[in-house]
Amino acid sequence: MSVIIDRRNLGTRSSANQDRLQRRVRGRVKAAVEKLARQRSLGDMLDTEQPIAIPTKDLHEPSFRRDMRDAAWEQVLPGNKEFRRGDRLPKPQGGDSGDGGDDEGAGASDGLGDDEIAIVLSADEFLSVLFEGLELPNLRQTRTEDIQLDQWRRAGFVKDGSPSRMHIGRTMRTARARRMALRSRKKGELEALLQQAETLEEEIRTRHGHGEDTSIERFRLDEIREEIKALERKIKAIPFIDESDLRFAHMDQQPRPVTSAVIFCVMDVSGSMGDLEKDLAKRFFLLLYLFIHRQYRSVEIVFIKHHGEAMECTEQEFFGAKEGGGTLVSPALELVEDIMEERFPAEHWNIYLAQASDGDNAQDDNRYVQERALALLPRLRNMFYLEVNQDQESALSRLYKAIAQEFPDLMTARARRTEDIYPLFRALFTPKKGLAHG
Amino acid sequence: MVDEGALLFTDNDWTFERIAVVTERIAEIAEAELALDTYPNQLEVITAEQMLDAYASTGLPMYYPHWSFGKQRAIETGQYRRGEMGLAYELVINSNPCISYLMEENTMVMQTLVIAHAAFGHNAFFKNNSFFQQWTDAEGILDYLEFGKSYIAHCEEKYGIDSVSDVIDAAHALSRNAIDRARRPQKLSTREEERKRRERVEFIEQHLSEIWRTVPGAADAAMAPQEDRFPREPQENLVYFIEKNAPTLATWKREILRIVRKIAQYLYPQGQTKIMNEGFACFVHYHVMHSLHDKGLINDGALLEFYASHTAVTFQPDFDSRRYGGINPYTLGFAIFQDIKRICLNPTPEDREWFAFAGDPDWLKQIHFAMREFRDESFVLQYLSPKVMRDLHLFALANDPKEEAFKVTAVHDDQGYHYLRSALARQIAESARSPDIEVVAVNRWGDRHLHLKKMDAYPLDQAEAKRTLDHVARLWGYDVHLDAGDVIMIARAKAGAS
Repeated sequence: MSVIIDRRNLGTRSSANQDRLQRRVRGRVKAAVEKLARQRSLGDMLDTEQPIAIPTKDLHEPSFRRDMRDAAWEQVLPGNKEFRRGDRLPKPQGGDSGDGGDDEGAGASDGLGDDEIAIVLSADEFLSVLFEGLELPNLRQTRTEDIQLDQWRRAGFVKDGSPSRMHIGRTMRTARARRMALRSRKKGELEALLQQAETLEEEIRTRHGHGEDTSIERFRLDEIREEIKALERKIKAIPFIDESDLRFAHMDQQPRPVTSAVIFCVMDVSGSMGDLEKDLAKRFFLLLYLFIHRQYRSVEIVFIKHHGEAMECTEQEFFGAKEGGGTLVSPALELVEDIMEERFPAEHWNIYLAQASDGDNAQDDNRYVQERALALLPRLRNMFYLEVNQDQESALSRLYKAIAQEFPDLMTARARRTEDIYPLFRALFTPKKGLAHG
Repeated sequence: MVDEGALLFTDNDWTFERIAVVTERIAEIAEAELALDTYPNQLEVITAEQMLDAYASTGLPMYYPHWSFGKQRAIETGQYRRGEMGLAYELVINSNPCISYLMEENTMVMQTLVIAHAAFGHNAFFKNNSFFQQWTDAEGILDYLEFGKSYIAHCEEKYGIDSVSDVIDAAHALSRNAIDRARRPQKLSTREEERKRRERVEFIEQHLSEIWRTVPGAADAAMAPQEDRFPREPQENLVYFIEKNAPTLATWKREILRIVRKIAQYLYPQGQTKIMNEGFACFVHYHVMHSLHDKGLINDGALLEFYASHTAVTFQPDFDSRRYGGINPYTLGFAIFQDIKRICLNPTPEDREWFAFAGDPDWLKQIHFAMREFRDESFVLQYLSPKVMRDLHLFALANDPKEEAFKVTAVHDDQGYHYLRSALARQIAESARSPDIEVVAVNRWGDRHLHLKKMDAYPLDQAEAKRTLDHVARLWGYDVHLDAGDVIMIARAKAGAS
């Protein structure tokens, strides 16, 4: 009795093996993907499946085998034409013609060369390797999809709440700020008093030398010393943590999911941006765009291009942009601020700003840039500034670096060549361990 | 007996109905004319992609996942896509019911051929060859594979994919040394297997504490009784020995070794009977296709298409051809089985001199006897006739490393037949066998090292042996020494590895 079954619709069952194979060579795959990402245009790479050559020595499976190269052997072969018993045949050069008994492992040639196999990555697998381990910094994450609209969510910080919600990072930060603030004024006073005391001591010594009376000065010195003691006591008494420092994670009913995030892409398209600079900037934004789309379904992207003035545009216009003209950076930041206020209130959105420019900003505009950046930064999760140029670091870049001293969430980087972009991108989006999230 | 309108098909597209009808007809022929005793058939229609999957896992319908199968598939997919490799038309599994794969790309003639070849030829061979009967358990294999797969999935979940992979890597490296050639294995059954697994866990713990009762230490070495040799006799099944005796191997790792070992053992007879198995299946399909044609069930066109595939499969390139890749088991096996029939029906004086059964009118009985009672080595030794040697133009070539040239030691002539036949049998036996490496001693009182010894005369590939030994050491947990004849190799156990 025979049974006939149609198995065709069951699909292949190789994915588990494929998955383990990729795990096994993940270092190689990663290196190959990163190399591709540095060299080729991303658009090209995503169109087709990506074959990656892996040396089979990485995938060698050892076993006990014979080595018949220098051994005596005898083989029976088919297709004798003219040989008779006792005939002698010259050995081929190179020596190892016969494989004796062991007929396995003679890997057939497969185009890549005998020592390589191809692992084919789908566009999706390619991106997953490309972006492996990267994330948007400081993103406050919850599970998005299945969350109801009205739900308790974290919503900033408040000064009181239940102890279980106390936010250590925030609390310590405020405490430190308070200690510094209080101490610095008192330290100033202390400084002044010590100064006075010293002057008096000097005075006393001089008068003493001249045989003059020092009782008034002594009296004053004692007074000052009392004050110093008191001040020192006070400085010591500044509490490490004051009740007023306590911060609690606030929970609120909010209509929007907290994971909603928006990323502003701000690109300089002015005349000073040459083809290479534009290409570098676009590469960066394209990576960013793919990354965001792949890893964060609910993240919105706002494209802004600017030269002398700034305008919001579509992604096609953004990536196709070829413009010219002078450069002003501050209008772009103003536009970001406007759009934020209008559509993406900071209390509901994780907001990121990525900016790429050659830094060739009008000299007097940098002052406004500073103003705007300082106004924006407290509302941003992160700001990335990528400078693309061949020459000196620009004033704009130095300005941002100075601001970054205060706001570590502002990150700057410089790219000169195409190959720089991907490593730099990785560096920006690799989560930094141990950084206190605000 | 059948009228002209009886053709099973005229155009060449297969349908499920046609496959069903053809299978029924072949079953009739197989029973009436060849007296084949088969497992029930399960024919599965699959795609080329699925065929590549099946290839990657040595044809087994399910297998635990491992990167090496992914590697195999990557290699074969590449070859297939570049047209360097055609897929076999069929793949058949030694199970009850006997599963045969039919590729959807096949024409109806090809499907007919595949059904005759696999679903009846191989199927009957699996069921009746005594080597298969003794060594494999067609009833239990599917269940056992299922058990193995789910057990390993469970381990991956519990211990991580990478640590499981490490164990499987090591087990695979030794899988050719995981066979008890002399011992008949036990039957498999899943439920039994699970129950036994629990028993084993308990047993191993007792057993191990028995073996390793002593605490290793320098002082103890002196106290070691001289005659207390362990194992008492050399053990050829390295995996079994490690599984049962490794001092510190985690229980789940032992179980994985066992799974790999059981599957290796299940596959073992296939490597020992390749010539016979393919030869017999070809013999069956050849008979069936002609019989279908004789009965008017397939037309001349179908028969010609069949001939084209048949000759392609049984083609033997000459030794000096670029296509030469060893002796084609299809060619040799088919030639010998056909020859057995010929020797029965049309014996020559030479045949009568060589074979006692020459002229026996019951050729089918002789075919069945040959199919049941031999494996490749003994089959060739028993049945390779001068005629087949002449037809294939066989000759023997010897290499002496000290000599400048190869030497032709025998050709297909009266002086050479016996020599050729035994040389070929020896060659077949050796190629199917892995280097004979056995456990000769365990240092129970000292550093616990495992002592292996190469028992055969052939030189070992030392680079391979070194890497394989590292796997052994990883499993054993202590150093491993291999006496490879001219050299002693030592693999150190990494600290903390178990």
